[in-house]
Amino acid sequence: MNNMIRTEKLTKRFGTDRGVFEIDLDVPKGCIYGFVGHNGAGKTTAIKILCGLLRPDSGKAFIGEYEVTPKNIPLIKKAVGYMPDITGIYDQMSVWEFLDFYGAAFKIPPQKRKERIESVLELTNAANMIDYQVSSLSRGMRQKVGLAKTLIHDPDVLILDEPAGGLDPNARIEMRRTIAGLKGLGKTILLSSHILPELASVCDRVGIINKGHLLAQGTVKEIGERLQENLTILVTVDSDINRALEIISGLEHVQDAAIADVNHISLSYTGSRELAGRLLDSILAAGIKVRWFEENEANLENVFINITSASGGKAE
Amino acid sequence: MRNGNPIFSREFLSASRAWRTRLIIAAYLMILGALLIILWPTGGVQSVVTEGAQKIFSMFFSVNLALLLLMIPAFSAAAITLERERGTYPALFSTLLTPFDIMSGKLASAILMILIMVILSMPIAAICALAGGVDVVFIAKIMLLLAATAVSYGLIGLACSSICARTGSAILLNYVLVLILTGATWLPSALLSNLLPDLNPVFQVIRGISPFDAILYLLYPDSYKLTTLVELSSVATPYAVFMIASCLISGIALLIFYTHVLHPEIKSGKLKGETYTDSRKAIKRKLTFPFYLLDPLRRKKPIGRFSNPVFVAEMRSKLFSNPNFVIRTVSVIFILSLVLLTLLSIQLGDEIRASSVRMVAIIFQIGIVALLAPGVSSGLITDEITAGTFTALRMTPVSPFTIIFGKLKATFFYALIFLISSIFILLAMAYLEPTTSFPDKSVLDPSFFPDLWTKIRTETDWFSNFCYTYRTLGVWVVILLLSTMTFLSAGLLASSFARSTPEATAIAYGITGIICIVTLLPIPLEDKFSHGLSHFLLAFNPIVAAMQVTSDSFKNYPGLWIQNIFTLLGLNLFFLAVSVARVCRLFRKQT
Repeated sequence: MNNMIRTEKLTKRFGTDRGVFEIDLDVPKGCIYGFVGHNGAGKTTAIKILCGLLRPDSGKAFIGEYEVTPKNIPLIKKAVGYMPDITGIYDQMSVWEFLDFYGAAFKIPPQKRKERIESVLELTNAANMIDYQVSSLSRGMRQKVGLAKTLIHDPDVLILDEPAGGLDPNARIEMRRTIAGLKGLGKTILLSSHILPELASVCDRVGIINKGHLLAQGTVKEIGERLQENLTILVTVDSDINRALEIISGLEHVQDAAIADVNHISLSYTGSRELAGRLLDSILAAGIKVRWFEENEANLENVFINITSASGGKAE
Repeated sequence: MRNGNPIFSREFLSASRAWRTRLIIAAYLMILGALLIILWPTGGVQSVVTEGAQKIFSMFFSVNLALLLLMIPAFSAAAITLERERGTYPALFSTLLTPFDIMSGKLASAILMILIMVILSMPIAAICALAGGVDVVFIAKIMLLLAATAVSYGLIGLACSSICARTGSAILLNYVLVLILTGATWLPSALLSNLLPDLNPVFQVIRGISPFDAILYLLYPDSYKLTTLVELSSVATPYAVFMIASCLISGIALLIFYTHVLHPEIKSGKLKGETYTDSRKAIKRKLTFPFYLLDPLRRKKPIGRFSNPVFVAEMRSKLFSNPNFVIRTVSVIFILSLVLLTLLSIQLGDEIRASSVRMVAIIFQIGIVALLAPGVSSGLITDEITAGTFTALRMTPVSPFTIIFGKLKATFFYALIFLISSIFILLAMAYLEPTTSFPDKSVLDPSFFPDLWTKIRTETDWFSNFCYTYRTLGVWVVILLLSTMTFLSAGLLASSFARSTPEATAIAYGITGIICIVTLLPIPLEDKFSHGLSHFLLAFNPIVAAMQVTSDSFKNYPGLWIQNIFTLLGLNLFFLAVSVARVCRLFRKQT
């Protein structure tokens, strides 16, 4: 079993239509998994079940080889570093004291703790804040200290609930880099967000959840391909654009060809990906000068919108 | 609602819909009803001349007033601070509402809620009239007094709320002011009348500020006159003084509230966590007291392997993070205890005895503990939950036991610092204890110690005499420490059940009030309670127990102080057990 985080038909209901319903998550070891969904889609519920903070109504959740049960909670606490959406911080302490407290709470020996605090602050680019009073930290700084606290006991699995929520663009980019750096240390990371470009740039795999149902999971490309029946192709021409459009529209397997921009034509190709190369040959054979010919890959935003709007909250 | 003040509508509707308000009002009316049932005569002929009717009145209205004073901070002291804590305060000021709309809305909703409570108690109060002996004008006068108290103390609560940045501080400040304005107004006439006899009329007026003084005057005018040092005709009657003082206090409170509500941001001093790049400033900071002793930058020793991390964190975040507050409070208590002793000795002159000092010590020290301890511990759990750190704690291997005992231990140390600052009172008690064990001369006399040595060698039962002499002091210290623990664990209990710190603080002060004041009911209602019930209730009261052990009072209840020690221990264990069970449940809560 290579999955570090796994759920089987995990269900938790709040009333009739809220919660999570029979979700099957699979997060391979060393992977950054993005958990995507609207507000109230069920992301935090699933995350809390994985951390042992909520008990499921049915189904199972696993962290590594351990099932998340009351008996295994001490093992889960050791294996998981959880950063909630609102990072609670003790205001009246210095950053060093704050991390020292959590280090002691995780029973890290005093002689190793100092080194550990310095190392997690280094990892989160917060080494300069070691002597700051927590109450004087900005939102972004607090998130960094919160992440440092999550890393203090060196967990194998990191579960980060909206880690970039409320951060400015620079802080978000920095947080993304930090998370990517943590992957390099072999951590398995599950992070939830509804800022899709951010997830797309950092995640290896994504899971899309809507109204408590896991609609799709895999790489963005895989999900996009599964969604799209036709290829969307963009052709950049140097010839007369109207003439080019007329010729392209008449070619086999081409649908919905249209001028996208001054010299760009967008079209839908109903043939297979292998046959798409012949399309270029046909266009060139017709005497059109082509500067660029590319398949428009699915992006997470489109995939998410397509999936959530197409399904009424039901799984694939 | 459509055309009214939206702040008033929101505040009043949400307060009246809250289950907490209904619970408070229900408890208030039930306590008054139960009191009336206890007080109501079971036989005999009642007439205007019976003392029973007056007793019903005095008890009923005194308890009514005490309950009102206890509840007012819960309604008014959080009005502005909660907005600040939730971050909704600037949003209010960004609307088209004027500061006057905001102020009047807050004011009207808080005051109206308290006035409704007074009005709701009127039917029960009217039943008192059936006992006879009073006319409608008398009842109207007392109801007016209650209404004036509700308005003026409600405004004090709002003023506290506008000054303080946090709800906990506002509630604490409000209770301190309530205690001073209702209980400490007699202190100048009690302590300074011999020193400054010309100012006795002024001291009498100061006494009249307390609503209890006015009630006492209305109910027992003849007895009241015996307690005064001046002819009441030379100054206004206590009722009139109270009414005028209420208007003045209301005016001042309103002014404070108005001034502060117009400034949405609390101007704080130097930004915490400021870093100095200038080495001169850095050295100055290092050497500035109290940072020299308590500078967080100096505290780099990791929490020990066997230390309770929660205890250390609490000490760092509560005691060492706010040294100015601790040092100022300790200094105030230090000075107060010295001033109190000095005034006491001036007032009593040669007649100063250990018993007088004991009385002052008991009331002063229990007062400090009752005032500070519940406020210190009432945020222990609720603060963690509201700050979002409770989930982070749940994700660590730290057990609920470690959390509870770590937090309680830290708050005990915190409270102990304030108690130690009143050490002068204890030293005075030790000095004034019977001197049979010591030579009859000053300790500064060169022959004191040789004589003492002779006494120790020659008197065979010297040691037992010595132990007996200081037994009372020892027992008092034990009762004081147990009371501290009980009030702290009451705060913890409230904190583990309440949804917010203000709610927990109000509950904790309620429990403390029951232990310190309600258990005194058997004294005025001796004939209404059986001896056994009176004994049982008095055994909860630390003041009564301390007075019994240090003097000859409460002879009718033998062994009361021993029972009090066991009762306080039992209460402690009960509060702790329930708190532990509750925190364990919160810790393992998976729903």
